[in-house]
Amino acid sequence: MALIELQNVVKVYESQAGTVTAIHGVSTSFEEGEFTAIVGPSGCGKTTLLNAIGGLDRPNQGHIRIDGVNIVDLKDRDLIDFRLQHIGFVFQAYNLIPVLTALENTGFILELQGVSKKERDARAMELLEAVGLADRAHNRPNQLSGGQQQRVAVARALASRPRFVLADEPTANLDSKSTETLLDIMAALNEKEKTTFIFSTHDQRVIDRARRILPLEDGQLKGL
Amino acid sequence: MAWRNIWRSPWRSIVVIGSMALGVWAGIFMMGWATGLNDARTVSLLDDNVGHGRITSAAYEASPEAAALIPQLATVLENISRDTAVTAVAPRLVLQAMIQSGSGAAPALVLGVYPEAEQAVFKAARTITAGTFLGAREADEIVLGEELARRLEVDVDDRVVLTFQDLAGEVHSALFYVVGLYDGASNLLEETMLYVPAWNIASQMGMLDSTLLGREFPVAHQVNFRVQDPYSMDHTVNQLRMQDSLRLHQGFIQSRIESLATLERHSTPLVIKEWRSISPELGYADEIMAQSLLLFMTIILLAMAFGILNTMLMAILERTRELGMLMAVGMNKRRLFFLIVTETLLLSFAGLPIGLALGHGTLAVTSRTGITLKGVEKGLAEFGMESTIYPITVPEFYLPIAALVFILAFLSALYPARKALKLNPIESMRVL
Repeated sequence: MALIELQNVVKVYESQAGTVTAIHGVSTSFEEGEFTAIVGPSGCGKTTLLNAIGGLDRPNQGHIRIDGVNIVDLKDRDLIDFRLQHIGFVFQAYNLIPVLTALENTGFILELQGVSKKERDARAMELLEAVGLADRAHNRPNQLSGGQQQRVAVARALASRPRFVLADEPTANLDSKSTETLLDIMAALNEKEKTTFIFSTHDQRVIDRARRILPLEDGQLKGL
Repeated sequence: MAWRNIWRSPWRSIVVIGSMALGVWAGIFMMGWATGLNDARTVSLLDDNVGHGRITSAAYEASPEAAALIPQLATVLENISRDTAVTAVAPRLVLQAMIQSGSGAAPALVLGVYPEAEQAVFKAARTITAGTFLGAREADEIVLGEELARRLEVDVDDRVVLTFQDLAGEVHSALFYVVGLYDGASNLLEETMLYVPAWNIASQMGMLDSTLLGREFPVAHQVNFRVQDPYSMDHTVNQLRMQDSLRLHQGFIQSRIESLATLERHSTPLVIKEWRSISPELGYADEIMAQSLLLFMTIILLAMAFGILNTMLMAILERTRELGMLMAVGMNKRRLFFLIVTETLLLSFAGLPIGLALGHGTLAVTSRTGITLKGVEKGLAEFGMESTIYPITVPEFYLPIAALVFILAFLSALYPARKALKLNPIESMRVL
């Protein structure tokens, strides 16, 4: 059974300009350990598709099964808990908590899960070492560069050992060197922790490193 | 995390904490000031004519008739005077009478007093504005209040006639010479209350027999007394009744006036009252003031609460993106609500101890130095009060104030928390 299964997913938005169909009946699946990039130009529906997979947005039609659970049917409260327990998120703008240190940001999801401070600090430090930021563990986000912040964000996403990580344009705000470093780290973690990564991107450097590419155009998946 | 969050905008938080501290300080000081003012007024009235405590016979308490004298007065006085908490004792006879002068007549409350004892307990007997207080024990002397003297158009050395019923029910009239005028705490008091020697009036009433003549205080309807601290009397237990069963029905400052317990030996019941029972309006004034002060404090804190609410709303607006992220990664609504409420409570409570400490400190200092009011000396003197008021520390209010801060802070957190809970993660972040 696939880790993630999408069946005829449709997402329609109502706007002042009229009805916009962001995703047209997307059906696909993702296996465990994948390193996949959903690619396409701006406005093609990448983020909408990622939001739907991540349970942040409910499709108007279709099913999204994660480990056999159709998350479309989950109640809001259960969906929040499902995200907490099973999904890691990396955001384009890092979205670290400014009042917490790199170590505390990395362990934040574990804190929400009720993990003891000792355990979450140990896990957070392990991941900060993996992303090369052990020496910045006690720095706050405003004391880190953009690339370093995004590495902390990746560490945070992986801290709870989620079933998969969704990364929306993770390199959009990074320079070339930081992008390479981040991709190296994510590839290494994909190898080491067997974590599934699904990116949305139009960055060629990310596309070049992805082992599977899903082109999206006008809300529909296209064959390469 | 909540504590760190409130320091994201240090100056804004400092302003909110400072205003809370200032509000609490102002409220505490106002409470101490008002309490000091009220206490000064109460003490003045107690000193003037109420006294701190009073013993009567149960018969007099039921119906204040002339025949209802305190039984075994000498023993009662001996027992009460033995107590170290009691500083002065004044037995009195109290009669209803009519007073007449050449210009008019008026109903009067006649106090048959033993002059030195009366002056030791009551300030009114010491505040003689013309002439002197009573002297010889059986003299036909009378001391009137200034208002009554004005009404009857009499002065020192003038004559007045008192008309009253003796113990046998016969109506008596007796001539008295005005030897002095007193200045009481209120005009009502001055218009009705007058002093004559107890020996004189007791003799005319037919109360004295040969067995009583050798005593210093032969008869009395009341034994009034002062204690070292009128506020040490228990608020809730204010009355001791000596019943026929010789049992104490309610405790009455037992620790301070233990010797009163020996009064149980009397065969006739006595009634002992503290000042709140003698003059209930003074006790009510304390309660009304306490409630008014808490109401005033609530209004101050309510204004503070709106400031806190506004600050928290701004904080929520500024952190919309971050709150969206928190919800996206799995922070549930209960936890988010708890975070906002905790931040609000911390912001509110940070100023509380500062305000309490400042308020307490200010009251501690001014309770020693006093605060002199210029320009209202005359008005205060009307109430028998000095122009320097001594505020009082009010630790009994600190816990209610803390509770008020908690309740108002919690209430002011609800709206910002509701706004936060209504955020949509995607719309808040705009990007995943």
